[in-house]
Amino acid sequence: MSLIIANGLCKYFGNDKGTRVHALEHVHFGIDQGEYIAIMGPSGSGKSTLLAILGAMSPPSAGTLVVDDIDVYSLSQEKRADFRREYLGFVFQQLQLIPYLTALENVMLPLVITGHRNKKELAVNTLSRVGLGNKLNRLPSELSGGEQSRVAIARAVVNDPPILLADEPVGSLDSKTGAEILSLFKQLHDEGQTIIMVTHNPESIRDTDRLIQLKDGQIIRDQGPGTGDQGCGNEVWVLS
Amino acid sequence: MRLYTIALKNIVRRKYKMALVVIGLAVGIATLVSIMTLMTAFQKSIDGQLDAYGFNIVIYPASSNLSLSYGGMNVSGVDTYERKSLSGQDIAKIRRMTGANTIRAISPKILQAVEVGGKTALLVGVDFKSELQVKKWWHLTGTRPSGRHEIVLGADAAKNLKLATGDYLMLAGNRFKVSGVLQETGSQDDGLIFGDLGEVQALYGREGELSIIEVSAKNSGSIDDLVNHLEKTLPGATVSSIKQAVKYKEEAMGSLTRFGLMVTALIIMISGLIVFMMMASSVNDRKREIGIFRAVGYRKSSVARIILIEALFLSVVGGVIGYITGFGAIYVLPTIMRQVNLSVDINVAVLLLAIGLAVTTGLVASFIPAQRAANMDPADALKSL
Repeated sequence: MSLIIANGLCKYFGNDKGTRVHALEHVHFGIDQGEYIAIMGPSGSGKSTLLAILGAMSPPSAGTLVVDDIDVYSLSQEKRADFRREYLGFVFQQLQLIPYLTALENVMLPLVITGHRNKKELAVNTLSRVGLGNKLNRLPSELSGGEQSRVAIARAVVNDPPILLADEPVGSLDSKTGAEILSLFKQLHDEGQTIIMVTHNPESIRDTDRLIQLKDGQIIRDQGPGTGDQGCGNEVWVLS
Repeated sequence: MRLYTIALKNIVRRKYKMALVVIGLAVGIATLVSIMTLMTAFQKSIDGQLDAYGFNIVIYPASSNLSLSYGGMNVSGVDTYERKSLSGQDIAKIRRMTGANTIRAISPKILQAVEVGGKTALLVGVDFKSELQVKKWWHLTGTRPSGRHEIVLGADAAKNLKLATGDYLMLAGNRFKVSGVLQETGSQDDGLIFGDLGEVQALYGREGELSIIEVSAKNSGSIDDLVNHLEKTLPGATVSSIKQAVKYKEEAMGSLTRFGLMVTALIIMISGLIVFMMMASSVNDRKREIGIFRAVGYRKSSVARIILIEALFLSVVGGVIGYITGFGAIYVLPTIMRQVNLSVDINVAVLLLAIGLAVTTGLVASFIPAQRAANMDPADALKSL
């Protein structure tokens, strides 16, 4: 049974000339618990739109998204906020740390509105897990790019969400730091975390076990275990 | 960490913008506090006058001839040629009338113009015992007259006649000893000479006559009823409450207060507008941040609460600063205070009103920006998604 089922997802946007732009067209796929998936495609292919829909933040124009038997877009906006808190962790392209909060406070952010006990302890443990146990009280501006990425990842997983969504997580990092962050994703995946990563970078998909390629809002290739298009593993994907 | 931690840290981060919110509110509140403190002081001054004159009623013969101002009222019939007068019988009638039980004291008087050292002065014959009951505010330098040939001088009268306690004064060929001089009262009493009622009546051949009867009520609530009863009891006399004279001042102050409050309302509205603009601008600047809150699962109400906690904190600070500034402004205007002789006290009610109004203004003005923040589409707010 798939954890995520995307069924006929479409997204249209109106433009200034009154015509409709098709950002996504009839996208179908299923994602199992524990999968590490890369979504790739050229600019304008619809991958960020797809991630926003998967992130319960942008309702599709048509189609359904079912996560853990929950029809996500049949939920009210407030229930969808609760859903995001319980099911999803986000690592954004620009990291999006709150500049006036310390690393520890940034990681505690999703916990503030939950009934978790020992919020601080949980956040400290998560930061230690990503190797920042000694920089709890640093502001984002006092951390390197790689350390900021680690804080963003810690914030995304602190409340143990079933799904981790990442948008170009190494896009702004140098190759060495990028490799460190990717190995952190690999580590999370090895611990059973379901990860969906949007990326441009072929290096980023080295450890993924499935690749969904988009072009003009449609899936042009879905390779990996259970997709009928094997080819995943440790080889580097070569995009045409 | 709590929601208020986020709100307070944001305030610290945007301290200059947030300072404008505080200043905007503080100016409005300071104006309100200044006006209210002044008005309270004016009111206190008027109340003081009321207390000073007691809840007194003055009864005098209805006449259109010469007049004297007494207790802020024009009192007719004081001229020596004026034959209309009150009498001791009128006092007996007052004691027997309905509502007499609300009377604290009755002080009969006779007024007589006299020549002293080439100057005209007004001699008032009083029963010193009842006069002192009616005029609790009198402070005497010297002693109370103990005999019919002792008199008391008002402060100005003593100055004008160049007399002091222990000196002697000739009236109608009789020698009177100045047993005491009144400390300044700020009333017409300062210019008068007070002698024994019976002695003055006898001296000027006006036995049994009275020019004025002053009646002191036990409390302010009974004054209007007492005036009605006195008018019925003494139809030939004019009955007037000193409270009425003070009321004119109250009405004038009421107009001033209304004008002051209108100005304050305008300033508070401008303050509200400043808060609204600053909070709206802050929300706009924090679009991405709000997107993050929403993305990590903050409900709309949680986002709105962050904005409103900020507004609440800024409002309380603005209110307190406004109160201190407004109250302080009264003290940096010492010349005004000296001229009107007002005393200003810290008023807890004004402090609570100041903070309450600042909080209300701050929260109302921040409501729309908070709602806008709460309704932000997280996907729109986070441009990267």
